Amino acid sequence: MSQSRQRLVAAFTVRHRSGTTIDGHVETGGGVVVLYGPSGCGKTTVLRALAGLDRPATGRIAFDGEPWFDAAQGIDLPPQARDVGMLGQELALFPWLDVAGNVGYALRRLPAAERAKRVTEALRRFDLDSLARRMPATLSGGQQQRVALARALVRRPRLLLLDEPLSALDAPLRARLRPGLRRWLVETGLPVVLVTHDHTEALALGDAIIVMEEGRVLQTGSVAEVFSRPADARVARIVGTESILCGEVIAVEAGLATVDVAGVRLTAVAPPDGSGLVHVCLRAEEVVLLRHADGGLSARNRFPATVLFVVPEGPLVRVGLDAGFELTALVTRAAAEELALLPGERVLAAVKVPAVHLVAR
Amino acid sequence: MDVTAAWLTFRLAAATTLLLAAVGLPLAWWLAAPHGRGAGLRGFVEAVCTLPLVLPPTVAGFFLLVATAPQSIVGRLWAGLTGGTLPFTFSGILLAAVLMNLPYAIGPFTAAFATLDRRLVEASWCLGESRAATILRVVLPACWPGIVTGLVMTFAHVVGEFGVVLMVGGNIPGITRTLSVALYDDVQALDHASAARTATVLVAVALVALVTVQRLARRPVARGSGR
Repeated sequence: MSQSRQRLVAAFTVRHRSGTTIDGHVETGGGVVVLYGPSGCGKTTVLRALAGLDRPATGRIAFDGEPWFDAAQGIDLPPQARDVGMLGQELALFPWLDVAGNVGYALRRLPAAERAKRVTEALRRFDLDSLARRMPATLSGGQQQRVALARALVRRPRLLLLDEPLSALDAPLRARLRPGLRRWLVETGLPVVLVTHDHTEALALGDAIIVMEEGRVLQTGSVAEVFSRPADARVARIVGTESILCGEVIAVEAGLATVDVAGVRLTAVAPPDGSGLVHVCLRAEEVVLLRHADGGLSARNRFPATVLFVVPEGPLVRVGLDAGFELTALVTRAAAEELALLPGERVLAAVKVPAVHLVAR
Repeated sequence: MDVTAAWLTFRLAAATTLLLAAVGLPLAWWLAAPHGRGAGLRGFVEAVCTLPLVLPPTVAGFFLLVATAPQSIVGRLWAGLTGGTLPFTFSGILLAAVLMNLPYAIGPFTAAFATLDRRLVEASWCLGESRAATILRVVLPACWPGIVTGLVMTFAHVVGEFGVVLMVGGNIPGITRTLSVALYDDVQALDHASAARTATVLVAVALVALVTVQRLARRPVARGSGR
């Protein structure tokens, strides 16, 4: 199975009864593609259209060059003929079948011996051996999810579709299952399209990312690229760059731009398309806080700020700052205590030049 | 007790239940469809199906009698198809029983289909199962308590059907005289011993049906537990 033979090419529009339209643009030849965006932006609709559960109004979906949907030619293969593994947000295990019954559901046509062998293999692979005779309702969320994955993969689909695979689980479990899920997805060797609104999930599970908002695709690229270099302010807001500021490029010299943000001068890598008004994107993780000016710091951008709020977030602390513009920093608890960060305190904020991302307006 | 009437009643109830399964299940599936076109039409059809619940059987029986008269459209159609007539025949009371018992079948069927988790159906499709196989492997296992409830309620109610049978079928031994009509005859003839036996049988059938239905209702059908 070479990568080029498993290529999904989809460009279509789904029209909802309410009149809203949702554009789907998905292209992948392997790896995990994350459809990312706020709740209600149409990600699930795109996934359902790929599975054949929702019918687009226009466009084309092809896999391995074989058309699954083609509005112009009137082709619309039903889900049964597309050979996809689909995991809905609700896992939809059959409650009247035990774990082995669920996993073997799609193998009805195989001879009994072959079916039993495939089910046993799948159960072992997902650490479900000891649960084979248990009913879904008696399983934990994580176990149910493994059953759903095993059930979808046991018939060896050509494409795997997952809708918010971890959203039904509580936060600690989500964090624990993420690495395992990523490993399983990679091991399948299948192209995976995964829907999520959680940016940690997108970062942890995805290779490529498609950012959507209100039914439109805003940006497509590798996860690292999209998160660190959002194409515009909307993408920046969606992917979670914490501070998006309005600024103006007042000078460009040797590839570095000087940007004025509410009276504060910041240095950044100059955008290719020149000067003028820009959005300045600063990720909270990239903002360093200091009590006093420290000669040993490499960060070029330093500016005084007043602490507005301090909110603990697990091992980290989210610090709201006023530097003439509003800014968020994410620091460790220890750092926050060391710096005695309290609302009203004056601190020095520092950001490295490459961490200041300019998006032309 | 009138054994001929008992056998006739059983045949009528069984035939009605079978016909309502054949007609009622697809109709209920359509009525329970979650969204889409024809919501207004669905509401109207559902109301018509429920009508026998509130209509006095004599009223329904009168309209049926008129509607199936040999000169009527239905009567002529039936004559063309079979050469026979509907009023005062077994076919006539069967048709009447099917129509009068629509709500007892459609109600539980529709309720069962409406609570069916459609995601289970979609999951089955995505696992490669055809629509027909999905009905057998997902819809029936998920909905069977409601389906059996509808069938049992229909059977029990047909056994006790009186007014509409008398109006459409009259009182012809072996053809249209059911147990409840025979009971009425016994009372008219002051044969209270026979009436008591017939009445006891009817009560027993009704009780068995209700106990069955209650047991089904209490059965914890795990629905959509797999999140």
